[in-house]
Amino acid sequence: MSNVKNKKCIDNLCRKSIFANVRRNVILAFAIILSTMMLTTLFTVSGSIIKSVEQSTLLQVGTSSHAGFKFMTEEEYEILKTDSGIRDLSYNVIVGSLLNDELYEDYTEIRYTTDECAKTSFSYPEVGRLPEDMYEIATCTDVLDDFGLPYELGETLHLIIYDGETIREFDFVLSGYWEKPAATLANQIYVSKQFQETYAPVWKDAEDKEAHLMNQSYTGAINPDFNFSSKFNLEGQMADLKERLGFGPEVNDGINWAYATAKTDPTSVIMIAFILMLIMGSGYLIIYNIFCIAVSSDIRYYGLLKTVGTTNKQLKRLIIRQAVLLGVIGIPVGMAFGYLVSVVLLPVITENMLNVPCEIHPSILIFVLSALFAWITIRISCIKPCKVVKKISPVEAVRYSEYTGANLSKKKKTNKVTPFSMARENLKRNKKKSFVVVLSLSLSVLMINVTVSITKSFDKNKFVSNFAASDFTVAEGSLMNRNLSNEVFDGVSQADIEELSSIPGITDIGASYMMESQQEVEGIACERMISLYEAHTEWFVYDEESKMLYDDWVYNRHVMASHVYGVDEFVFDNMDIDAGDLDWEKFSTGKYVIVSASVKSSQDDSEYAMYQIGEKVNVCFQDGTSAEYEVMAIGDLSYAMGPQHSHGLDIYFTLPADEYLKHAPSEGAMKLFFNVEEEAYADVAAFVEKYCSEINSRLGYESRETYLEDFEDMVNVFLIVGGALSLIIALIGILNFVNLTYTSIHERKKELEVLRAIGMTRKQQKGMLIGEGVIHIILTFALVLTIGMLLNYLIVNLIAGGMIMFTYRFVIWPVLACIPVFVLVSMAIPAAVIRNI
Amino acid sequence: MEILRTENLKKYYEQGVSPVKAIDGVNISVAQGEFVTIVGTSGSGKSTLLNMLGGLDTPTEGKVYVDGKDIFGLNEEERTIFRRRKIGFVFQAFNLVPVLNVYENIVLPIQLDGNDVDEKFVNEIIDILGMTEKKSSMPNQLSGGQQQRVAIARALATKPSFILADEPTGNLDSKTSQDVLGLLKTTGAKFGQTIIMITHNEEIAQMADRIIHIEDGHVISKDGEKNE
Repeated sequence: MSNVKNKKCIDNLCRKSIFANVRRNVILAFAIILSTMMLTTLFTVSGSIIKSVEQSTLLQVGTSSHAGFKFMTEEEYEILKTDSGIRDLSYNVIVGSLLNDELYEDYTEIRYTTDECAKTSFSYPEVGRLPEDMYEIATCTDVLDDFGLPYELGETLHLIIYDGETIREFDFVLSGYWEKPAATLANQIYVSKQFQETYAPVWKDAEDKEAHLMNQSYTGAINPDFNFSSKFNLEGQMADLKERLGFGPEVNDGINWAYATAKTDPTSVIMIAFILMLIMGSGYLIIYNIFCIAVSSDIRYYGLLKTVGTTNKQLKRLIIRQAVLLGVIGIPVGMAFGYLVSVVLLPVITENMLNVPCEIHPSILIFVLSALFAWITIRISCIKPCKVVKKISPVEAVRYSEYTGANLSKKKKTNKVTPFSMARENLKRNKKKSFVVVLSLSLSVLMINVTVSITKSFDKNKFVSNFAASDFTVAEGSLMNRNLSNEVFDGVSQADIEELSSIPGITDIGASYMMESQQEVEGIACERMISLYEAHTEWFVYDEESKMLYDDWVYNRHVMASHVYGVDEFVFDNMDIDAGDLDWEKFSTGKYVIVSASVKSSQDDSEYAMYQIGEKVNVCFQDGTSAEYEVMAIGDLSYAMGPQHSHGLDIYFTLPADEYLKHAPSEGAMKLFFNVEEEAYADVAAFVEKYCSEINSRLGYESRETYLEDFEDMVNVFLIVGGALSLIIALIGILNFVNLTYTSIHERKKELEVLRAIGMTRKQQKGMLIGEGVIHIILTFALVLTIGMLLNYLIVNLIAGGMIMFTYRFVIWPVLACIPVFVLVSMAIPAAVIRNI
Repeated sequence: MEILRTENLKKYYEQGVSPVKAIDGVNISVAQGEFVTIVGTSGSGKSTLLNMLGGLDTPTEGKVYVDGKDIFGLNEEERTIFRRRKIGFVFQAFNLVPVLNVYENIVLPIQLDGNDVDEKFVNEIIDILGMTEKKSSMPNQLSGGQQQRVAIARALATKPSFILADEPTGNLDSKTSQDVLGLLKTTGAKFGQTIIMITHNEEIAQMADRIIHIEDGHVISKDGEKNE
């Protein structure tokens, strides 16, 4: 068969077909734009957030390298160098720790570094160079600020360096400096190779390492960084590397957790997949539904073309060409809008929710994916009418209607005929389409309810109380700033307490005290300890070294690491208790102790306590003395009131403050807590701010207000993002409804005329059509109020269940609030459509 | 008694320079109980005339009186109500409502009027038309002939002033056509019903009491002259 030259004819037909059904094609183009826009927004925003968070986390981690080792010997490093599976190998060497007062509250490390390592650690001099001479250093501007020095090369810094044995002081000359990125936690001071080799020679071998560690010194430790061939599954690649090199658990490895694909968290994956499916499903619903709804008129039209000799192949070409034309217009517009929406939405999300600056990172891949998805959906949707036409004769196609009622049941019980009863029966003509519309409307209502449920399930008090047990908390700076190396547990002196207690407006005040100690565990307590350790070794042991340590403590020495706390009544009243009753009067006699369980979960952990209620325990203090107390209860300080760190298999004893102070190495409190009258809040805040910055600058403070603001910001983000998503899905649902209504009325135009002929007034017809709309809404809300509520529970828990401030609250008012709106829409649209017929 | 009368009925369509005169001054009268056919070829204006007689299309000029009432003096809503009480329709394409069963289709105009159904009367019609067994069946289960019988029953059920039948056998085979026409005539006679039937088929037209010929929008006499 020869090729027929009909391309021009098909093109012409295609163009004219599009303009012949302008309304439908405009809606279709709009649907394509909407779904492409949603996908582009989703991919762009999440991609940008991931990229920005990754960047920011890299800065926090302190390196852009994929992975590295810590505290290596030269022997181990030489082996590492030979491996062909790693690239960009660089290293730094710890030179000691800094004891300057100027750097007390600004954590600073002192090292030697290679050029490459400095670059990947975001600490390469922007002005000047890395040190070369013996007494040269390079550092960041934060350090220069701490010393009150100008940013000028040649400035002198006096540093006090402790190498684990000796304290040395040197004057260094500044050879280079840089501005440390805000997200980076630690400052760096780099010394020259010459200095490092002289004062901090590298660990030669395991023996050398052991000797240093005995003195708790890391001076001379080599810390190599490197990249793998890809940043996927870093954990797996590291495990392979160690196996190749024959490195066991004695070699400390580190994966750069900044890379999102370092380790996949199943919950996050599920959440992201869920949102993605929601968006894609909604997009698919729009496009597919619009194509399907118009299928009858398409089939009749294509049937007509077939009667004049168009082949199936030509028809397919025509259909696809129309789809391409719509796609070519709709997809780029959708992508452009998607990008614009991302530009607006991203700052809103990041300012209120993430503490990292985020920039838009557009990606070709994102645009390609969005376009691909939209195109696939269009392709699937528009082929359907083509397949139907292929199967039936041209004449049948010309007369095709999905509203003939051919698919209705054979018999029907006789009922009184009213416009509403006719509406009910009409819905049965095309159950599939009705179902799709009901589904998309239900989805939108569900989304709204889920959004509100999540925000209402956020317990403000739970959130705040996790971080702040009182209006104000004052403690030594190291307990407020997690970056300081040495935590001080007695930094709030009695003088501080006296001064702060005298502030007018304080309603409650109390302190917690703490000492670290080692508890000798005997008798039944020892049996319990061994039993717990053996039953759940994996809870405490994470490598060879820790196993050796715990084995020794548990089996040989029968000891546990312990904290001994002293508390005032205010702190006592806020303790987390697993078992037993609290009685301050009895407790304050000094004869009782509260003992913690050695495991902390959100449930009752009293079974894991070494000492049970009523038993006597000989509490061992830091100074070597001990005293006997009766166990009043099993519990611990609340998270906000404690030191916010733990050891593993350990035990905490809580005594009344007076009793504690009898055995304490100092009178200093760990933390001071106080509540204030509302009217006095601002004045107290100002006083505390001044006290902690001018009078005793070693102290820091936190207030409940700050956490409340954080909470409000977080809730707002959920409302904004969830609200936007709900709005889009609601728009989709309504769009589908409009399209279904219009098409079904249009398809039954002749039938409606006949009904008018036999006496059905316009008013009655309007009632019937409105009835059809209302029935859709009734079905929608029936679905939402049954299966929907169960889904609501599941989805809300899936998204927010793991958050600390989450307490599920059943919320239904958003669904109820939607009813009048949807009913109004369901009535207005058929009324508007029939007015024009 | 005169059931239906038209006075100088005209229907012009504006098309191009000169209007198309689909109906150009038609005066007819139909008495109660008559079976009248209106015969004409394709394009003669018979469907346009039928639509105006049934109040479905507005004339350019002229009047239509049904039971003495000028139907175009009513507004659309009033005319629809009037139509469902006074005029029964039988269409070529049957036009049953697909979501209602046979019985519901028949009583539809009565129930749209909010009236109670005269069950005895309706069942009698159904019986005469031989559709008793099919009362609960849906239209998609019926043959063409059966559907047209249901349409006839629907037209009769409201006891209208007259029945308008537009090519009622157009979609039926010859035998079924004969059956349907026979039933139409029989039920008409039994219930004293006035029937006006449109057809292009001279043979079918013969079964009526009176034939009105229409050509180019005019009623013409047997000898081909226009009747003014």
